[in-house]
Amino acid sequence: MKKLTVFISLTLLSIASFSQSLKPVSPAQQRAMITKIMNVESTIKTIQCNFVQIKRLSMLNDKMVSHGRMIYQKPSSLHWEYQSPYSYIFIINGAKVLIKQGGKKNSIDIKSSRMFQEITRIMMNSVTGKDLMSSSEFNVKMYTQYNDWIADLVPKRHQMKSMFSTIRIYFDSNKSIVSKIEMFEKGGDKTEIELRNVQINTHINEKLFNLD
Amino acid sequence: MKSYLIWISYLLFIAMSGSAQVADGSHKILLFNSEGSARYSFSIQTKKAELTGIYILRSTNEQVSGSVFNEFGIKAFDMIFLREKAKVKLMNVIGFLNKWYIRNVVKKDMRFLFITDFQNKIYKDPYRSIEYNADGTIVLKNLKYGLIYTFIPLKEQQDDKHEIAE
Repeated sequence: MKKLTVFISLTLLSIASFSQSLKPVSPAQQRAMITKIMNVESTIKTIQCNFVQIKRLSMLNDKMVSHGRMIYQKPSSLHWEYQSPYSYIFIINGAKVLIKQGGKKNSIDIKSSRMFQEITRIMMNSVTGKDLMSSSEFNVKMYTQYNDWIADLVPKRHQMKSMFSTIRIYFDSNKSIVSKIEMFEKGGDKTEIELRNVQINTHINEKLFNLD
Repeated sequence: MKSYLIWISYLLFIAMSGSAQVADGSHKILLFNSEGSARYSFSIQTKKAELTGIYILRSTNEQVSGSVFNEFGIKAFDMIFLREKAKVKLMNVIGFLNKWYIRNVVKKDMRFLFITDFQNKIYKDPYRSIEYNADGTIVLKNLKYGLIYTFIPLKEQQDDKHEIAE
């Protein structure tokens, strides 16, 4: 009787796990999903939200949780601010980046560093979903899971490949906007960024993008 | 009397099992918590640039393991310090740091830090110095190459486990 109970429990657990897994979509469905996301993206002028970032460290079996806020304005302004447990502000305005940390300010020309080019590109394009259209940069495969649409982006270029094996973007299927981003590294680490209280096309204080 | 002895045995067992997993009592300058974990805001200042990020460490009786990543979560490197051999290994080093001469300098600087941490005195090295303050900040200098490593303790995050379901 005990064995039967264990067997039934394991079977139910397997069914539950399978139902949570990603369901691939057909090429036609994928095109339709991307078109819908891009249509919504074209109407976005501003995004502001809070975020929770979780860095999972495979070697240490540990994680680091950071909290912050993000403000984006088309075409190329981003204010990415970590508020806890450390204070770190990263502002992109056109081709310039300003980093504020511990009372210090550091201004960088994006073109001067490939690493910064990639970081800024990931941040700007991931929050809008624009990366889905970068066929020269990524192999894209779409899935569904509950109410989410999920895009797996596998980098094609060397610089991006050296940082991530896959970037997974979750879209709220009702609103077609990004709700979460997961970045997988070859070594087994993962960074999750969950966007919360997302507000689209609301008024933004332009001073947040000042590079002074 | 019997229950008293059981109670003492239980306390001894708890104390012994704790010391088998975590070696926090043996650290002189790095601030490990009761679970054997330490978290620092970290920077390496060179003559031309400054790299900033987070350094997370985990200590056991055999080794100290660590991961360094920038504020966005991009890994710079993983490391292990083997206590018995006093040796540092670097793994998963990001491309622009993954050059033998950079790895060698970082390994030796980290070895200096961990040996100092395990000794009750500053380990003598003509090319390196270390300072540590009451607030837990550690500044390690590589005098030969003009490198300054700064470790500032991060506050414990009590609410981590409640943020997002695993």
